[in-house]
Amino acid sequence: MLTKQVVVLNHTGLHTRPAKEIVKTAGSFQSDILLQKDTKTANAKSFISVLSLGAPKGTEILVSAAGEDEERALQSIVALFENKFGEE
Amino acid sequence: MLMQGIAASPGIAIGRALLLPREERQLVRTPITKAAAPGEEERFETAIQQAKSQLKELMNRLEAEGSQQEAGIVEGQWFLLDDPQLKMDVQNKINDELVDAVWAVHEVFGDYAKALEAIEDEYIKERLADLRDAENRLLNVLTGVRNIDLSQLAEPVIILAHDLTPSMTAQMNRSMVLGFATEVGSRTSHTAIMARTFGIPAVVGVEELLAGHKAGKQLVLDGDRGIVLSQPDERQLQEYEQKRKEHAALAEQLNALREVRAVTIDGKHVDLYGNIGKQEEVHFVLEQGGEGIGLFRTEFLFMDRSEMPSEEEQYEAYRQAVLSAKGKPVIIRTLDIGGDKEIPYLPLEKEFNPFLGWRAIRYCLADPALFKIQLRALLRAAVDGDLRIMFPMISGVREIEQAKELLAEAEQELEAQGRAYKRGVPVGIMIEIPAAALISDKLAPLVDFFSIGTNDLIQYTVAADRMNEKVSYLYDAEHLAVLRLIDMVSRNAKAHGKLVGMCGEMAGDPNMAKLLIGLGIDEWSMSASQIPYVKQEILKLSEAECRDFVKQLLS
Repeated sequence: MLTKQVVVLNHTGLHTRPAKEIVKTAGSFQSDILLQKDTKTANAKSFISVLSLGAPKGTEILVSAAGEDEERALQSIVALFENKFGEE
Repeated sequence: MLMQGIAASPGIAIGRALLLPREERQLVRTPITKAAAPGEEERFETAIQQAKSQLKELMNRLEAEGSQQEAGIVEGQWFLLDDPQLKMDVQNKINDELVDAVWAVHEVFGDYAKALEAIEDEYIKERLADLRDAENRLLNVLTGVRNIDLSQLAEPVIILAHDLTPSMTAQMNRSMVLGFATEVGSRTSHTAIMARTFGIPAVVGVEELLAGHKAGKQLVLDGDRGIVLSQPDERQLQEYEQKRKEHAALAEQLNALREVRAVTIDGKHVDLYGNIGKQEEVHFVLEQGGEGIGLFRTEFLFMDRSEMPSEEEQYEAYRQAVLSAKGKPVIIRTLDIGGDKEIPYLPLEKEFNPFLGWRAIRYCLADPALFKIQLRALLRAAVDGDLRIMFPMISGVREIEQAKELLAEAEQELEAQGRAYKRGVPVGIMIEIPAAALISDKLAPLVDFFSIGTNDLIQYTVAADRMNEKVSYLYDAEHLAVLRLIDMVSRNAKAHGKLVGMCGEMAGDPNMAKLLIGLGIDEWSMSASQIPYVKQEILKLSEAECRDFVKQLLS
């Protein structure tokens, strides 16, 4: 399992559009991918889980990926956060 | 039987009723045997697939029409139904609690709704409506409730409903819809706006509408007087048929004006443009003979949503508008919003006096990051046509300088990113604050054009709220003070060789045409439907006479 800490940088936080991006990207990997915020954990392949996380701008999230393609999976998800989900 | 409602869109429709019943579902906890569990799971799977493909179809249709925002909402519901968590939770419930698929779905969605409600985030809460919508769709499929497919109407009908949602009007086969009537709503609700946009009669706010009508029976819809008349007798039918013919004749007459140029009898041409709120409305303006868009209100891109529109989304919207205009000018006004509107994702507070408060350009200049997102989107979209940028609520020189600085920064940022954008996009301002009108000579050199926002200019000048019944009598476009200000702005613009337009309601009032020609306003922007009426008036007038008339008034 690999992990990386990221910060929600985009103006609107993890709302519908970013949530969709995460779910789409996570779904293309075989690994289990989780997003952890404080004590709450969300399955990155589940739209309702990601939305229910409630992560506005500035939230710190721990991304973890476990599986055969965990390296690429982690990288891709982290990249989404770092690119502010294409918002700016 | 005659029912009275609110007139929402003019015209007369005579036809058969299509009733859209309110969705009322009785849900009970239905226990099943262990043996039945796999069957229920399969029922659920099949329903999910069906619901998802319905949504996919709707999404594709909306995208093809250019309704990006609506397509995005529908896509969100698709993601909900595609969610592996949903599948797992429902299957577990079916197997662990031995309840049927319908009850399991209802309970699971209920849990999700509670989870979303617990989040302190305003925007997430808005997703509750989508959750309910997706649940309803799934349950409809499971219980075999046939949704009336509004895209497959076989014959022309008058639609009667409790309310019409954006997804319903988006689906409609418009050529088959003669008019709408709803139980709820106001002149400015979605139903009313869509009816006016489609150009069909509508009546809203008709209590007990559905109870009072039978499907398939003939009725008359009087959108002028807000009347719904069920099963009219011979005499009523004849009267209304006559009215309908008159309406149609008037429409023909105005139609014929479409290609005619808006020129006075002594040869003065006036640019008649249209005001729009969404990029899809451009073609309505062109259809009515409009020669450009004088005001694209960008607020609608920001309203009724839980998250800010991204640069990409804005760029797409502006680009669509510009492309639809086929080379005609499109004046896009930057965000003109304040605390009076519900925008959960912007830090606009409830102010004591929102119309004199932190809004429009003041807000944008205080949030350069947000403002530049819009500016960059505009600069990029300008590549595809004649886009012009307009800043609202300007009160002085400094604001124009700051806004132009940010525009320059936006250009540099796009340059650095290697993105295509247009240089030298014309920049103008709204003149709606008396201060700006009074120093318009100082402002003219700094911009390429003015557009007079009479709605606010009049209110600020006579200090009266036109929505306040007690003082609305003071709201008078022909008040000498207002005319003097407009005259001043017009002269100052011309002294500096700049165009002066007008985008308030005054521009769309044919009775004001004489004044506006006399005051030398070059471009008048109004609701698309007003264009033919105003043109009709212009064709009768002489510029020389109008000038004299105004000279007299102002002396």
